[in-house]
Amino acid sequence: MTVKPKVATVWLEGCAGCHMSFLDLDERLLDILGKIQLTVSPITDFKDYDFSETTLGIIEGAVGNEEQEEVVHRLRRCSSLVMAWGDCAVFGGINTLRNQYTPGELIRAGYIEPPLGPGQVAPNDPVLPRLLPRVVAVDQVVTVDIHVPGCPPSPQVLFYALGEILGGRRPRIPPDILHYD
Amino acid sequence: MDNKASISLRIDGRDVTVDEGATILDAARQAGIRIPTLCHHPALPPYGGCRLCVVEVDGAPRLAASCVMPVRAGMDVVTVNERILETRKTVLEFLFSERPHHCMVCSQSGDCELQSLAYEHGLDHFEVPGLNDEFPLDTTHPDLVLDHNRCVLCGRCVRACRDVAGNMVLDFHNRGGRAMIGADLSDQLGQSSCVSCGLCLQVCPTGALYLRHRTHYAVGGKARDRRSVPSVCPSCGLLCPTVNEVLSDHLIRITTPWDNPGAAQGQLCRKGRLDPFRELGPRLSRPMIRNEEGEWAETSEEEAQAAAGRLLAGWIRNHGRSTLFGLISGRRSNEEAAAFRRFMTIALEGARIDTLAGNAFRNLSRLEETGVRGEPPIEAAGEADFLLFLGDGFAQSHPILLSLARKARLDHGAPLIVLGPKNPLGPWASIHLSASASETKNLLNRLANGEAGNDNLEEVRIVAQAWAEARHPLLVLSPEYLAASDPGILHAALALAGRKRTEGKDAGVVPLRPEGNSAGLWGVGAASTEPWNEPERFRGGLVVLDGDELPDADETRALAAAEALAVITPYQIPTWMEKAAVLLPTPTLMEIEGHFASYDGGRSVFKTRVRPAPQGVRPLEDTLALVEDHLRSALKARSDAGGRPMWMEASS
Ligand code: SF4
Ligand code: SF4
Ligand code: FES
Repeated sequence: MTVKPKVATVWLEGCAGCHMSFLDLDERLLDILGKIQLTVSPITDFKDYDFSETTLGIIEGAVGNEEQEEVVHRLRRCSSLVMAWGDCAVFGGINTLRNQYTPGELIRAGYIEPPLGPGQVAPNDPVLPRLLPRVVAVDQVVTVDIHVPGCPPSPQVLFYALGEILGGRRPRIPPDILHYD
Repeated sequence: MDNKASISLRIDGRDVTVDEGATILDAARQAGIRIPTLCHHPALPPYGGCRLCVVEVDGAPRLAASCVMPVRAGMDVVTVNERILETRKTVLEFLFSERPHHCMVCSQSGDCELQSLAYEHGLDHFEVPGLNDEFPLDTTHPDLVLDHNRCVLCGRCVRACRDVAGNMVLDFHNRGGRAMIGADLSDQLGQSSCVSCGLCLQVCPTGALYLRHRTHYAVGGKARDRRSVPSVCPSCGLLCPTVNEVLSDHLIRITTPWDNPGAAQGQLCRKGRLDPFRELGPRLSRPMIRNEEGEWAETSEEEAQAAAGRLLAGWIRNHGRSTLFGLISGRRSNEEAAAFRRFMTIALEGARIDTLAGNAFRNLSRLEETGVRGEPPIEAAGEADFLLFLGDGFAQSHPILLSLARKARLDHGAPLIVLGPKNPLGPWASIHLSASASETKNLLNRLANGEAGNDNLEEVRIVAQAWAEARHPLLVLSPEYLAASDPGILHAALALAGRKRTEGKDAGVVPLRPEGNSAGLWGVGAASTEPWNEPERFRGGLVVLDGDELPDADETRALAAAEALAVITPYQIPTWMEKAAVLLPTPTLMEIEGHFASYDGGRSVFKTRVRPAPQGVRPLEDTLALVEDHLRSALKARSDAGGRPMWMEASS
């Protein structure tokens, strides 16, 4: 029995739409899942983030806090190929709206200025990851090999990209299925 | 035709022969070879700003912008290779990086040339990160929005505004990375000298300039989902062809073919391009009658038609028909006018029939009888060397004249003179004399007999001087003067032009009809040749509207004491609702098909329907036929209305 390539997917600063679009592959999912071994993923919901010997690391979402930054670096270190899914991972996406403000201004506007209810406090647990000064696309943090934009990318374009990779080719998304929205 | 020398060159290994002076892009297009472009637009002068169209010429290290580079004999052009594609990708990346282009949240997505070019070039990511800064959004204009966040500084709008429309409102402001499109001296669009011709909307490749009325339909409003309905604009009688983009029965955009044979290439005025998006009031989609308290209430179609029938029948029984009238808007189609005429001559026989602003018709038809007429076409305004605007209503009735006037000024230095309360030409007017009707008539007479040359007012002396020098002057008579009860200004203008013609000059008077299809309605006999005789004695009848058109002075007097008035209208217009007892809905011009005549009645075209009328809104012809049925049966039935007021009769 041949060893199936290990695929890990992570969900960073994004809305889960890319993963939903992946699930929207419907019966084609069976075809894909037959050819890969899905390890860490919001879909499997394993909590341990063991990325070892990943062939293909897939990232949904932009990088906006220290934890996400670390996940991206670890996934890159462990993966032969990294694919960015969706506008947030590829361009930064809707999250970059916050780049007009500093993290301090955001926390103030979100948690300090609005009147808090009785017993409520602004989140200040030291385990909470800190916001980065700006939200950025994944390829501004680590090298990305394959970009699949779209908000969300259509099941069709995800299927195409995965199919090319599993077939040993580098995907070049044809203009008719390439889209940014 | 000037005979240009032919030039032969090679493009991608093919021999191509073009006229001298052609650009490489022209030559490639002629040979069916596609070169991507962005700032280039076939209807505008070339600019060479974006560099997307680069090609390799004779293997030179520096690529050339094909949209501006003229061909030379023996040139060897390559339009695609690795280096060219990389350059184009870089150009696109830089364009994206200069403004915050977030296609994922952009309502233009799917209908944007920048985006299509990026798709075409397989740009699946950007190495130059995009901007997150926010650029200004100018929403001060009633019709246009300028969103600098989407602008790529291609300058198409600048060239359209300056070189085609002749308005010179838009231009580049600042330089380099700070360059921005701006209006006038960095004014907000709403406070600028913009005349709302909307030409810039038709050329902007990204939708940085867009029509504000369409925004909330724009989400998902992708070009591929739309229908394009060819039609014509019936608003002023020039009958410009239009292309109407419709998305599930919503109007998204109106454009005109660039070879529009009408007044000006590619141009539509505010009336053709923008007004159809304006609602002139709340839409009347169900009939309304007054209830017992005299307040407006919606009712069934049957009930409203019956109420209109009873109302008119009741009046006829008690007072006869001679105090009733029927008025129809000069915007409705010939077919609708014919149905209206039939209704008036059969069902309301004996009542007065007229169009709104019917005095205009009578003033003109009296001229025809005396053989004085012979009017130049409106388009002649662009060729005149002296333009005298009598009254200021032309800017409302025929906004295209604003463009033609500027053209006349720019092309042959024609003095533009406005005699009227307001100056719609703004700074373009050479002289504006804020003259009343009688002052205007007076001045025309004095120009005719040569007295104006030694007037006390310097402006008047200048006008007299310019008039004396003009070789083919044109006088444009605004509709308010054409429809005046006293046609004195029309006659004075004709006399003045006639005097000029005796000097062998080519002078003319253009009398502007109040509405687009006025001539068509007069042609089907919807106007009366008899003047209103004691208009105050009238008490009601039937009015067919399109929107906000106005009655002339005599009609206003006839409407003043209306007691039994049924109004058929697409909108709930307060001034008419004050007078009416019954309101019946009817389609707008966008929702009907039919024939419309050109302003002078010389030409008639068929206008297609752009979108369907709302559910339950019948064609005017049907509504009139149904009211006629009810009117007949009400006249037959003997019922006693007692001494109740007429509006109660309508609601009983
Ligand atoms: S204007 Fe065009 S390129 Fe810019 S964000 Fe909108 S769709 Fe994308
Ligand atoms: S507003 Fe539109 S047409 Fe004008 S420069 Fe910007 S992108 Fe070009
Ligand atoms: S299209 Fe030639 S430079 Fe823009």
